[in-house]
Amino acid sequence: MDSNERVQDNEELYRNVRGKLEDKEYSILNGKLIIEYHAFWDSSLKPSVDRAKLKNNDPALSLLSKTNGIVSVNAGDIRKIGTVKTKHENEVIADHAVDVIPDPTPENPAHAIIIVKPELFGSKSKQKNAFKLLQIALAALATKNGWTLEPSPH
Amino acid sequence: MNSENYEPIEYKHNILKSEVEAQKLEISEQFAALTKREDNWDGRGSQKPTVLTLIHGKKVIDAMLDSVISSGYECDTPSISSDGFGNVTAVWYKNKRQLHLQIGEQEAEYFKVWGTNIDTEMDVDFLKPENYLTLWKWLIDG
Repeated sequence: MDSNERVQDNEELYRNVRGKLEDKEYSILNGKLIIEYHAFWDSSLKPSVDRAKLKNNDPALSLLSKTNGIVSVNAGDIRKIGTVKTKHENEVIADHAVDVIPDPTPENPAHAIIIVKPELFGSKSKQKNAFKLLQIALAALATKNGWTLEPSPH
Repeated sequence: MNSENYEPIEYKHNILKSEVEAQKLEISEQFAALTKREDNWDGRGSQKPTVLTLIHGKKVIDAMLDSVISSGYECDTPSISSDGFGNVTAVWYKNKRQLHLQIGEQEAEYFKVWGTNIDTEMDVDFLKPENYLTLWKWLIDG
Protein backbone atom coordinates (compact mmCIF):
# COMPACT_ATOMS: atom_id res chain seq x y z
CA MET A 1 0.00 0.00 0.00
CA ASP A 2 1.40 3.38 -1.03
CA SER A 3 1.59 5.76 1.91
CA ASN A 4 1.68 8.71 -0.50
CA GLU A 5 -1.66 7.89 -2.09
CA ARG A 6 -4.56 10.30 -1.53
CA VAL A 7 -6.40 9.92 1.74
CA GLN A 8 -9.78 8.51 0.75
CA ASP A 9 -13.03 9.86 2.19
CA ASN A 10 -13.82 6.53 3.81
CA GLU A 11 -10.54 6.32 5.71
CA GLU A 12 -10.45 6.45 9.49
CA LEU A 13 -7.74 8.59 11.07
CA TYR A 14 -6.28 8.10 14.54
CA ARG A 15 -5.42 10.98 16.86
CA ASN A 16 -3.65 10.71 20.21
CA VAL A 17 -5.43 12.23 23.21
CA ARG A 18 -3.50 12.77 26.42
CA GLY A 19 -4.80 10.45 29.09
CA LYS A 20 -4.65 12.60 32.19
CA LEU A 21 -7.96 14.35 32.87
CA GLU A 22 -6.16 17.41 34.27
CA ASP A 23 -4.62 18.03 30.84
CA LYS A 24 -8.17 18.84 29.66
CA GLU A 25 -7.94 17.04 26.34
CA TYR A 26 -11.11 15.19 27.28
CA SER A 27 -13.69 15.40 30.01
CA ILE A 28 -16.59 13.42 31.34
CA LEU A 29 -19.79 15.43 31.73
CA ASN A 30 -22.82 13.70 33.27
CA GLY A 31 -21.19 10.39 32.42
CA LYS A 32 -20.66 11.34 28.79
CA LEU A 33 -17.29 11.60 27.09
CA ILE A 34 -16.34 14.93 25.54
CA ILE A 35 -13.18 15.26 23.50
CA GLU A 36 -11.97 18.82 24.07
CA TYR A 37 -10.59 20.88 21.24
CA HIS A 38 -7.24 21.08 23.02
CA ALA A 39 -6.69 17.50 21.82
CA PHE A 40 -6.33 18.88 18.28
CA TRP A 41 -3.80 21.60 19.03
CA ASP A 42 -0.74 21.66 16.81
CA SER A 43 1.88 24.40 16.91
CA SER A 44 2.21 24.33 13.12
CA LEU A 45 -1.61 24.55 12.83
CA LYS A 46 -1.62 21.21 10.99
CA PRO A 47 -2.83 18.50 13.37
CA SER A 48 -1.17 15.12 12.92
CA VAL A 49 -3.14 11.94 12.46
CA ASP A 50 -2.36 8.38 11.49
CA ARG A 51 -4.16 6.60 8.68
CA ALA A 52 -5.80 3.59 10.30
CA LYS A 53 -5.48 1.35 7.27
CA LEU A 54 -1.72 1.91 7.26
CA LYS A 55 -1.63 0.92 10.94
CA ASN A 56 -3.39 -2.39 10.25
CA ASN A 57 -6.46 -0.80 11.86
CA ASP A 58 -4.73 -1.26 15.20
CA PRO A 59 -4.98 2.00 17.21
CA ALA A 60 -2.44 0.73 19.73
CA LEU A 61 0.22 1.10 17.02
CA SER A 62 -0.45 4.87 16.97
CA LEU A 63 0.03 5.47 20.68
CA LEU A 64 2.68 8.09 21.41
CA SER A 65 2.48 7.34 25.13
CA LYS A 66 1.18 4.37 27.06
CA THR A 67 -1.17 6.63 29.00
CA ASN A 68 -2.77 8.23 25.92
CA GLY A 69 -6.08 7.32 24.35
CA ILE A 70 -6.90 7.23 20.66
CA VAL A 71 -9.88 8.78 18.91
CA SER A 72 -10.91 8.36 15.30
CA VAL A 73 -12.20 10.83 12.77
CA ASN A 74 -13.34 10.04 9.26
CA ALA A 75 -11.53 11.81 6.42
CA GLY A 76 -14.74 12.52 4.55
CA ASP A 77 -16.32 14.05 7.65
CA ILE A 78 -13.28 16.30 8.06
CA ARG A 79 -13.63 17.52 4.47
CA LYS A 80 -17.28 18.33 5.19
CA ILE A 81 -16.47 20.53 8.17
CA GLY A 82 -16.90 23.62 6.03
CA THR A 83 -14.48 26.39 5.28
CA VAL A 84 -12.31 28.31 7.69
CA LYS A 85 -12.54 31.98 6.86
CA THR A 86 -10.10 34.88 7.00
CA LYS A 87 -11.88 38.18 7.47
CA HIS A 88 -10.76 41.78 7.13
CA GLU A 89 -13.03 44.45 8.54
CA ASN A 90 -15.84 41.88 8.74
CA GLU A 91 -15.50 40.99 5.05
CA VAL A 92 -14.48 37.45 4.12
CA ILE A 93 -11.29 37.74 2.09
CA ALA A 94 -10.40 34.05 1.94
CA ASP A 95 -12.13 30.71 2.32
CA HIS A 96 -9.84 27.94 3.48
CA ALA A 97 -11.06 24.45 2.62
CA VAL A 98 -10.21 21.70 5.08
CA ASP A 99 -8.36 18.66 3.81
CA VAL A 100 -6.30 15.68 4.94
CA ILE A 101 -3.13 14.89 3.05
CA PRO A 102 -0.50 12.17 3.39
CA ASP A 103 2.68 13.19 5.18
CA PRO A 104 4.59 9.94 5.55
CA THR A 105 7.88 9.90 7.39
CA PRO A 106 10.49 7.12 7.51
CA GLU A 107 9.44 6.42 11.10
CA ASN A 108 5.71 6.63 10.44
CA PRO A 109 4.51 5.91 6.89
CA ALA A 110 0.91 6.26 8.12
CA HIS A 111 1.39 9.89 9.11
CA ALA A 112 -1.03 12.44 7.63
CA ILE A 113 -1.87 16.03 8.44
CA ILE A 114 -5.06 18.04 8.55
CA ILE A 115 -4.58 21.26 6.62
CA VAL A 116 -6.47 24.22 5.27
CA LYS A 117 -6.06 25.44 1.69
CA PRO A 118 -4.85 28.10 1.16
CA GLU A 119 -2.77 28.27 4.34
CA LEU A 120 -3.96 30.64 7.05
CA PHE A 121 -2.54 34.14 6.81
CA GLY A 122 -3.01 37.55 8.35
CA SER A 123 -2.56 38.54 11.97
CA LYS A 124 -1.78 35.97 14.64
CA SER A 125 -5.13 36.74 16.21
CA LYS A 126 -7.02 35.95 13.00
CA GLN A 127 -5.09 32.72 12.47
CA LYS A 128 -5.67 31.79 16.09
CA ASN A 129 -9.43 32.13 15.86
CA ALA A 130 -9.65 30.41 12.49
CA PHE A 131 -7.62 27.47 13.73
CA LYS A 132 -9.65 27.23 16.92
CA LEU A 133 -12.84 26.77 14.89
CA LEU A 134 -11.14 23.90 13.10
CA GLN A 135 -10.06 22.37 16.42
CA ILE A 136 -13.59 22.66 17.81
CA ALA A 137 -15.07 20.98 14.75
CA LEU A 138 -12.53 18.13 14.87
CA ALA A 139 -13.17 17.61 18.57
CA ALA A 140 -16.92 17.48 17.96
CA LEU A 141 -16.43 14.80 15.32
CA ALA A 142 -14.21 12.81 17.66
CA THR A 143 -16.73 13.16 20.48
CA LYS A 144 -19.44 11.64 18.28
CA ASN A 145 -17.24 8.59 17.72
CA GLY A 146 -16.04 8.13 21.32
CA TRP A 147 -12.88 6.31 22.23
CA THR A 148 -11.28 4.05 19.69
CA LEU A 149 -8.81 3.12 22.41
CA GLU A 150 -9.40 4.27 25.96
CA PRO A 151 -6.55 5.98 27.80
CA SER A 152 -4.74 4.38 30.70
CA PRO A 153 -3.95 7.44 32.79
CA HIS A 154 -2.48 5.49 35.72
CA MET B 1 -12.28 43.38 24.80
CA ASN B 2 -11.32 44.73 28.16
CA SER B 3 -13.50 43.66 31.02
CA GLU B 4 -12.17 45.64 33.94
CA ASN B 5 -14.02 47.56 36.64
CA TYR B 6 -16.38 44.99 38.04
CA GLU B 7 -17.97 45.66 41.39
CA PRO B 8 -18.92 42.86 43.79
CA ILE B 9 -22.45 41.70 43.09
CA GLU B 10 -25.23 40.95 45.54
CA TYR B 11 -26.82 37.56 44.99
CA LYS B 12 -30.49 38.47 45.23
CA HIS B 13 -31.96 35.17 44.19
CA ASN B 14 -32.41 31.70 45.47
CA ILE B 15 -28.84 30.58 45.05
CA LEU B 16 -26.94 29.94 48.24
CA LYS B 17 -23.97 32.16 48.79
CA SER B 18 -22.07 29.12 50.00
CA GLU B 19 -22.67 27.42 46.64
CA VAL B 20 -21.30 30.42 44.83
CA GLU B 21 -18.27 30.50 47.09
CA ALA B 22 -17.69 26.79 46.52
CA GLN B 23 -17.85 27.40 42.80
CA LYS B 24 -15.38 30.28 43.02
CA LEU B 25 -13.06 28.01 45.02
CA GLU B 26 -13.30 25.34 42.35
CA ILE B 27 -12.44 27.91 39.72
CA SER B 28 -9.48 29.14 41.77
CA GLU B 29 -8.22 25.57 41.99
CA GLN B 30 -8.40 25.22 38.22
CA PHE B 31 -6.42 28.44 37.86
CA ALA B 32 -3.88 27.23 40.39
CA ALA B 33 -3.23 24.23 38.14
CA LEU B 34 -2.65 26.55 35.19
CA THR B 35 0.01 28.53 37.06
CA LYS B 36 2.12 25.37 37.14
CA ARG B 37 2.20 25.00 33.38
CA GLU B 38 5.44 25.67 31.55
CA ASP B 39 6.01 26.20 27.84
CA ASN B 40 5.43 22.92 26.00
CA TRP B 41 3.64 21.55 29.08
CA ASP B 42 1.69 19.19 26.84
CA GLY B 43 4.51 18.02 24.59
CA ARG B 44 2.63 19.61 21.68
CA GLY B 45 4.41 22.97 21.86
CA SER B 46 1.75 24.85 23.79
CA GLN B 47 2.72 28.15 25.39
CA LYS B 48 2.15 28.64 29.09
CA PRO B 49 -0.33 31.36 30.09
CA THR B 50 1.34 34.53 31.34
CA VAL B 51 0.58 35.95 34.77
CA LEU B 52 -1.32 38.81 33.13
CA THR B 53 -3.40 36.35 31.12
CA LEU B 54 -4.22 34.35 34.23
CA ILE B 55 -5.28 37.47 36.12
CA HIS B 56 -7.42 38.68 33.23
CA GLY B 57 -8.89 35.23 32.68
CA LYS B 58 -9.93 34.90 36.32
CA LYS B 59 -11.47 38.37 36.27
CA VAL B 60 -13.51 37.68 33.13
CA ILE B 61 -14.77 34.28 34.24
CA ASP B 62 -15.68 35.54 37.72
CA ALA B 63 -17.47 38.50 36.16
CA MET B 64 -19.43 36.26 33.83
CA LEU B 65 -20.52 34.00 36.68
CA ASP B 66 -21.48 37.01 38.77
CA SER B 67 -23.53 38.42 35.91
CA VAL B 68 -25.38 35.16 35.29
CA ILE B 69 -25.96 34.20 38.91
CA SER B 70 -27.03 37.66 40.01
CA SER B 71 -29.73 37.47 37.33
CA GLY B 72 -31.16 34.36 38.96
CA TYR B 73 -29.65 31.66 36.78
CA GLU B 74 -27.59 28.73 37.92
CA CYS B 75 -24.24 28.78 36.20
CA ASP B 76 -22.24 25.56 36.01
CA THR B 77 -18.58 25.70 36.83
CA PRO B 78 -16.78 25.84 33.49
CA SER B 79 -13.90 23.61 32.53
CA ILE B 80 -10.90 25.94 32.53
CA SER B 81 -7.63 25.36 30.73
CA SER B 82 -5.12 27.15 28.53
CA ASP B 83 -4.70 26.76 24.80
CA GLY B 84 -1.68 26.41 22.59
CA PHE B 85 -1.28 30.17 22.26
CA GLY B 86 -1.28 30.64 26.04
CA ASN B 87 -4.82 31.98 26.31
CA VAL B 88 -7.01 31.02 29.24
CA THR B 89 -10.00 29.03 28.00
CA ALA B 90 -13.33 28.17 29.55
CA VAL B 91 -16.09 26.00 28.18
CA TRP B 92 -19.66 25.08 29.04
CA TYR B 93 -21.69 22.36 27.34
CA LYS B 94 -25.48 22.25 27.34
CA ASN B 95 -27.23 19.65 25.19
CA LYS B 96 -25.96 20.29 21.64
CA ARG B 97 -24.62 23.76 22.39
CA GLN B 98 -21.15 24.78 23.49
CA LEU B 99 -19.92 28.13 24.69
CA HIS B 100 -16.16 28.68 24.66
CA LEU B 101 -14.27 31.67 26.02
CA GLN B 102 -10.74 32.51 24.92
CA ILE B 103 -9.06 35.09 27.11
CA GLY B 104 -5.71 36.76 26.48
CA GLU B 105 -3.82 39.41 28.38
CA GLN B 106 -6.12 42.22 27.25
CA GLU B 107 -8.82 40.79 25.04
CA ALA B 108 -11.37 38.03 25.06
CA GLU B 109 -13.44 36.23 22.46
CA TYR B 110 -16.35 33.84 22.59
CA PHE B 111 -17.17 30.91 20.33
CA LYS B 112 -20.77 29.71 20.05
CA VAL B 113 -21.01 26.19 18.71
CA TRP B 114 -24.14 24.18 17.86
CA GLY B 115 -22.78 21.63 15.40
CA THR B 116 -19.68 20.61 13.47
CA ASN B 117 -19.96 22.88 10.44
CA ILE B 118 -17.77 25.94 10.73
CA ASP B 119 -19.81 27.89 8.15
CA THR B 120 -23.26 27.35 9.54
CA GLU B 121 -22.99 26.10 13.12
CA MET B 122 -20.33 28.25 14.79
CA ASP B 123 -19.94 31.91 15.59
CA VAL B 124 -17.00 33.86 17.01
CA ASP B 125 -16.82 37.44 18.23
CA PHE B 126 -15.22 39.66 20.83
CA LEU B 127 -16.50 39.12 24.35
CA LYS B 128 -17.91 42.16 26.08
CA PRO B 129 -19.42 42.33 29.57
CA GLU B 130 -22.83 43.12 28.11
CA ASN B 131 -22.70 39.76 26.28
CA TYR B 132 -22.40 37.60 29.39
CA LEU B 133 -26.07 37.11 30.18
CA THR B 134 -27.13 36.93 26.53
CA LEU B 135 -24.59 34.21 25.88
CA TRP B 136 -25.71 32.22 28.91
CA LYS B 137 -29.36 32.45 27.87
CA TRP B 138 -28.40 31.27 24.39
CA LEU B 139 -26.51 28.32 25.87
CA ILE B 140 -29.31 27.07 28.10
CA ASP B 141 -31.98 27.68 25.46
CA GLY B 142 -30.65 24.87 23.26
